[in-house]
Amino acid sequence: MGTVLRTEKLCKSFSNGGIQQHVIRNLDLEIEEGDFTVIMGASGSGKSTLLYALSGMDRPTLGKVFFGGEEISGYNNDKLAMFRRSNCGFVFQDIHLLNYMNITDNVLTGALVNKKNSPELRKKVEELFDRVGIAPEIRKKFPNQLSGGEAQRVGIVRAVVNDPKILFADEPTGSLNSAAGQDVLNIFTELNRSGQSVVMVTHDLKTALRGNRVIFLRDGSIVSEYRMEPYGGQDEKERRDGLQAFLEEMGW
Amino acid sequence: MKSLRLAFFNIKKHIWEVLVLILLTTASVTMLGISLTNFGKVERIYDHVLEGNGCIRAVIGIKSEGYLDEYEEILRNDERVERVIRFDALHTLTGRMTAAGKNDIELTYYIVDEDNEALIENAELDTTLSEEELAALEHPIRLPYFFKDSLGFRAGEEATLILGGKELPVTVAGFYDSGMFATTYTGLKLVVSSQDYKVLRVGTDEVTILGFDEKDQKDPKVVEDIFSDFQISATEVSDGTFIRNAVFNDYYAYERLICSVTCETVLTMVVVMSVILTVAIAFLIWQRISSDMEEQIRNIGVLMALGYRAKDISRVYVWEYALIGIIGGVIGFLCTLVISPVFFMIFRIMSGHHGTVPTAYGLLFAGIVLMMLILSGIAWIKAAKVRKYPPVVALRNGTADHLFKKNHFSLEKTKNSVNLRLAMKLFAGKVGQSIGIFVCITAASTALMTGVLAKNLVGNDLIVRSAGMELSDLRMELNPYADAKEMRNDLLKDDRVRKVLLTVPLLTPVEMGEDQSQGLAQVYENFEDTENIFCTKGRPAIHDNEFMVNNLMAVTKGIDVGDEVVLGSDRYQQKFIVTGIVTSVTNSGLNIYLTYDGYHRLEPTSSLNCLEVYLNDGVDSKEFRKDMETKYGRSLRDLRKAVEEASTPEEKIRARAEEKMAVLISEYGVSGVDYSITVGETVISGNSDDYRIKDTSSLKELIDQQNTSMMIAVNLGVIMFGFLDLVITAVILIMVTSSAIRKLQTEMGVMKALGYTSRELTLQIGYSVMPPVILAIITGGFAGTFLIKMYANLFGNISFNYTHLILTGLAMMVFCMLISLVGILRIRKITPYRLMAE
Ligand SMILES: Nc1ncnc2c1ncn2[C@@H]1O[C@H](COP(=O)(O)OP(=O)(O)O)[C@@H](O)[C@H]1O
Ligand SMILES: [Mg+2]
Repeated sequence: MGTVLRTEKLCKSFSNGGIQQHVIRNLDLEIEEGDFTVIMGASGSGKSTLLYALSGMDRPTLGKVFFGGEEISGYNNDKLAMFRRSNCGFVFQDIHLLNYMNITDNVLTGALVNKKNSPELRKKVEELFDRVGIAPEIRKKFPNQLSGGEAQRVGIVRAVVNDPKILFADEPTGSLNSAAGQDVLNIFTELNRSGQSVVMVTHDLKTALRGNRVIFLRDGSIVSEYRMEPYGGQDEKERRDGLQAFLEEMGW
Repeated sequence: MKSLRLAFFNIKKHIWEVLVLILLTTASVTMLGISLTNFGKVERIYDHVLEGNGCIRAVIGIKSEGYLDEYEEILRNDERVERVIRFDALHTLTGRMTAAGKNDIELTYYIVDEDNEALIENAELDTTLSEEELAALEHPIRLPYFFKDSLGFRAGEEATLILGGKELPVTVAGFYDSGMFATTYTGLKLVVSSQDYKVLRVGTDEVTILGFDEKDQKDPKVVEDIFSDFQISATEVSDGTFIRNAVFNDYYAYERLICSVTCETVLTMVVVMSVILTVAIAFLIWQRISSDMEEQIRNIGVLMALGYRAKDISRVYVWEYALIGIIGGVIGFLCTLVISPVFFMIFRIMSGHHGTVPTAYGLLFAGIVLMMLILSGIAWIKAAKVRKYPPVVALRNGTADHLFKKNHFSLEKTKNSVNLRLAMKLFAGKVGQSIGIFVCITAASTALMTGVLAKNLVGNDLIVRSAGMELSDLRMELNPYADAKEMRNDLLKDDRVRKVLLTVPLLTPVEMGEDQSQGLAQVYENFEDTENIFCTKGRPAIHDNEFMVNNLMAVTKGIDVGDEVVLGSDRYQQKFIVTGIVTSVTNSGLNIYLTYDGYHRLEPTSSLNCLEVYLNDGVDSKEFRKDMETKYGRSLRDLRKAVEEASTPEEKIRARAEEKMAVLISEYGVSGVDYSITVGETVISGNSDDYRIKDTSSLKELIDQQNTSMMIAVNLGVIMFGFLDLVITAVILIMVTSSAIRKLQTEMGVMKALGYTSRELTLQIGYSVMPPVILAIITGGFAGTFLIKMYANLFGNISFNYTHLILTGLAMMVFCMLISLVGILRIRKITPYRLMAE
């Protein structure tokens, strides 16, 4: 398995009222294909900022981001958009389905930016809905008529409909109750098993257990990382204790 | 009071939008004010003149050669009539005034001498000359204000009056406010000395005019009745010759109408603009309140949870817009005070009258209050919708959701462009807004399109197509002996000349039908050669027993194609068949159209002694006219000058001989003269070859001059409408697009995350706004065409040139797209960042 994404001395700073705030500092990171990478850290440690820089949502202040050997950090806005549409999928904490269309169209909005409409495409969407457990009768509903869990499952379908190289997720279960959260995480696990690379930000231990690699961030730098077997191959308790020990060591 | 404070707070927050709204309100109030204050005034301008001058109110003109003393008796015996006067005037359909540094002013003139003028009215003379200077003038002329205001003449200025081939040098004594014959359409009255009148009389048509006042000045119909009864009695007394010699009748109502009609056209346009602007403002307020409520939905929810009533919240909005209305209203009122008099001054110039009329400010005040009530009312109705948001709904961010019950333009059916499809989705979600945009821009573009078409129409088509007379570049009336055909052949050799047609003099009368009413003959050899006589029904006359009537006559006399009508002259009566109907607005609807062969049946001795000359494109018609006049038309003035300047006895004799010859020809109709005089050894001889032209005129010029003020009005209107259009569409589109983006900020961020580029999102929002805009512009084009057609149909069947219309429409669409782009530009600033979860 090769490296899909790599950063070189990645820096990101914001100026807050004239004061420079360095959120990411000289960060070197490689994301391996097929991995379920989890980024952890305290609130405000720069997790989201890193995720957005990795995924071409934003340009770094300094340093480089390479995707499959190509430097994307120098792209202009339009090129970045083109890059995102063919390589990245996103799942947000606030889900962010588009209110003014039904959920099938929400998914198609993601798909049609990349390829032409076709019966195959529509069939694929149906299959994805089946896979995440969105029943046919709710596929024509509007986002505000769905429960949070359902909505986030639709969000995942929208994110993976283009077969992205990497699926990014920023606290995807943050606004869900725990049962719905587990359903969503199961989908992530299942996707990863079938080969989907995932990069997920979370500050929740239970969520982090789903990954096979946990990166710990403090003040914009990687403090350390922890590797595990892919999820499900291990005793749950043992896995949890291992990660917890690591996190405690990090001052969690 | 709390609401008022919150309203101020809101205003501060949206200061730019508020300023724009205040500006628009000010403009709207000002326009309303200008029209409210001036409508009454322009109506009164003319009455004011009549009251001030004691001008006679109605006139009947009869050719002097056919005037009978009995006519005056008829009027005097009419009980409805008081103050009968009789005077003579020279009447020329196309006379000319020239002055150094000015274009020739070719118009219809009535010339009266000072004594007769005193009978007609006692207008004060507006002059800068002193009594002595006035007394010293050799050829004084008093001109109506039109010359001063529109043409820039000044007292003491030298000018030349050209009439029937004679040129009279005159000095402007001053100006006066005329109550009769004061417009370019009816003709202008010039007052000269009795001496000059006698000189001008030679070879010019003289009319004897009976003037009178009606006793009952309240009843507008009474004068018309007097006219028609007079015609019956006069025809009886004169054994029918009255009709042949009647030239016109006219009374204050026409003058008054014409005097105010252009001003009222302008004012109507101003009112229309004010209304359009008000509609636009109402829409903007509506739009602003609804987008503000959506943005503020959480705050509203919190306020409600704290126990505020819906009333308390909507009162904030009402206050906000009432304040905007009050500020705009007050500034607009002040602007009106300043601008309204300026407009009145322009109207005075356009109407050709002076005089001050008091302003009715009460109406203005009422208008402004009404305007403010409308704006606050709109705000109140819209803001009352707060009721529909109980705190739960408000706090749950749920407002926009109820709009999207149906999934319009499903993406599953996307064909090519997903962006277009997504745009249609946005569009479908904002029907109310689209209707608003549509209404406002339709109103604005209808106004503009109507203006553009009106300009087009007044500019050329309407006149060219509805004159019902040939509008050649130059019309030359020849002296009786001159051979018109030979001269035509001469002219055709000139490479500036495109075509020459032969015809009869202007105002050649023909009697018509049983009642022997008057017709004016337009005679041509072949109507296939004419360029401005359009047969809108039937076909042109070809044979000698055929003729055409004009559209007005067809209606008033109930004549139709195929009817048989008896036409008559002094000597003959012949039956003719109507073959066609010609659109004609000139000569009070008296034009009839005969072939030369047909006319010959009525006047066997007549010959076609007028030439209509059509020039090639680009030829200077004024220069050509001068050439013709020097070559063929030496005038009495030239001859007098020659007499004065002659130094040797021989030259003096020749000059005197030529002068005598000219008088013989023009005054006594002598056809050709050869002379030779022996003085001692020398023989002085000459002939009349140089005197072929009796008079030259150009109807084209005449009509252009008559229409000057209408043209100014229409151009002004087009410019104002154009400007208003730009402002309204720009403000609406920028507000709508930028508020759309404000509302869709998160959605746009999500779209960006999904990989849509700024350009694609710009297109989506742009496309979603464009359908009502484009539809509105097209509707405006059709509505404008419809309005103008309705108006133009009064003049007959007129075809239009739509190029300008289409170009204007396209330009507007491009403008709208560019402006929307400006509003959408800030979409570039939205980053997917906003989606970050904390
Ligand atoms: N657009 C921005 N402008 C200014 N500061 C920002 C911006 N985005 C993030 N920050 C700051 O960067 C820091 C890291 O934020 P973030 O990456 O969201 O942290 P995390 O996701 O780990 O909670 C925070 O202190 C935040 O205030
Ligand atoms: Mg975060």
